[in-house]
Order: sequence, then C-alpha cells, then structure tokens
Amino acid sequence: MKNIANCERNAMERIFLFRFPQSFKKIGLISMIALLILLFLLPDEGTTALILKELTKNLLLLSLLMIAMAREDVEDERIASLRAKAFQISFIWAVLYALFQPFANLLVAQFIPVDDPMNFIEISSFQVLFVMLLVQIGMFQLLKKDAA
Amino acid sequence: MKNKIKVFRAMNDMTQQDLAEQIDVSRQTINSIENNRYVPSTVLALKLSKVFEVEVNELFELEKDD
Repeated sequence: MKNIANCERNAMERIFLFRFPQSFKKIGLISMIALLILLFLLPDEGTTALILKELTKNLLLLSLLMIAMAREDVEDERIASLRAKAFQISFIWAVLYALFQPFANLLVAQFIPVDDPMNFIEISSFQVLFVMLLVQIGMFQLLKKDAA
Repeated sequence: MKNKIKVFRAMNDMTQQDLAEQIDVSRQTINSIENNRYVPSTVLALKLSKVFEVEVNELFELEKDD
C-alpha cells in the first residue's frame, strides 16, 4: 500500500516538474498566430471546413499549452512559484468566465438582432480553455515582470 | 521577513549574477529576495547560508507581522 502511494506521489511529482523545451515557446507563438489567422479565414459552412475549424481550434489550444509549459532560461523555484500562481489565477478566471459569460452574451443578445438568443448563452470548452491558457500566459509574464 | 543578503553580498564583493550562479537560480530571483518580494525556500536559504558561511538566522530575520 505504501509502495502504491509512493508511486502515485512520484508520478504526480513528475507531472508537476514537466516542462517543454525552451524552444517550444517560440514554436508555440508562431503556430498560435498562424492558426488564429487560419481560424478567421476558414468558412463557417461545409463539413470539411467545420472539421478543419475544429482541428485548428485543438491545435491552437496545443500551441497555447506549449507556450504556457515551455521552460524558462533559468527554471528555479521562484519561476515555479510564479507559474503556479498564474495557473491558480487563470483557473479562477476560467470558472468565472464559464459562470458569467453566458449571461453577458444574453445581455448583448437583447440589443442586437439574433435568430435565437438561447444560442448566445452556450459557451464551448474551447472558449473556456482558450481564455484559461491566455490568462495563464499573460499573468505569468506580468508576475515575472513585476517580481524581477 | 527581512534579510541581509545584499549586505553579505557586498561584504563578499559579489554581484547578483555571481551569487545566482553559485546557487543555481536566476539573477532576478536574487534581486527579488533582496527586495523582499520573494521568500526563498528552506533549501535556497541553506544554500545562501553555505555560500556566505553564516547561520540562516544571520541572513534572515522574522518581522512582527510574520
């Protein structure tokens, strides 16, 4: 029983310490910009276009994750602490976004003509994860700048 | 928590970069510790005390609100 607990602890520790190589930050940033442009260029109709759009969204989340988890020049305990703080803030932000954004959308739907206002209150997992990763990246940069 | 890292660093004629390299952290981390913006872990505090060859209590001091 003690061994299982130790194994689980070690596995968790490995996940906690996992970082992508430093070069992934640049790769992630370039692919994020390219994918954002592609997302706006893809049409909203047609099965192939919709599948491509979903794929682009998934790749966009992956690019953001690459940026968020890329190793810093010096990956010391202060950086680990700032990264954890940024994840904590982004998690809270994502929960608040998921809770309040549908109502904000519904409010907006009152002022602009839409077919079905109820469609407005649905938010996708992509939106929540996109906001969460974006806030994490932004907060981490901000905290790094503030603490330096 | 107050600390005397800056004083000990000056006494040992070390730059922030020199100290950072000795304890495997970034220069920014040393700067943050010196300016009380970051409280180091026990491991880092012990590493600092080893570099300056003083007790941890001589480097760090608790304040009233700690």
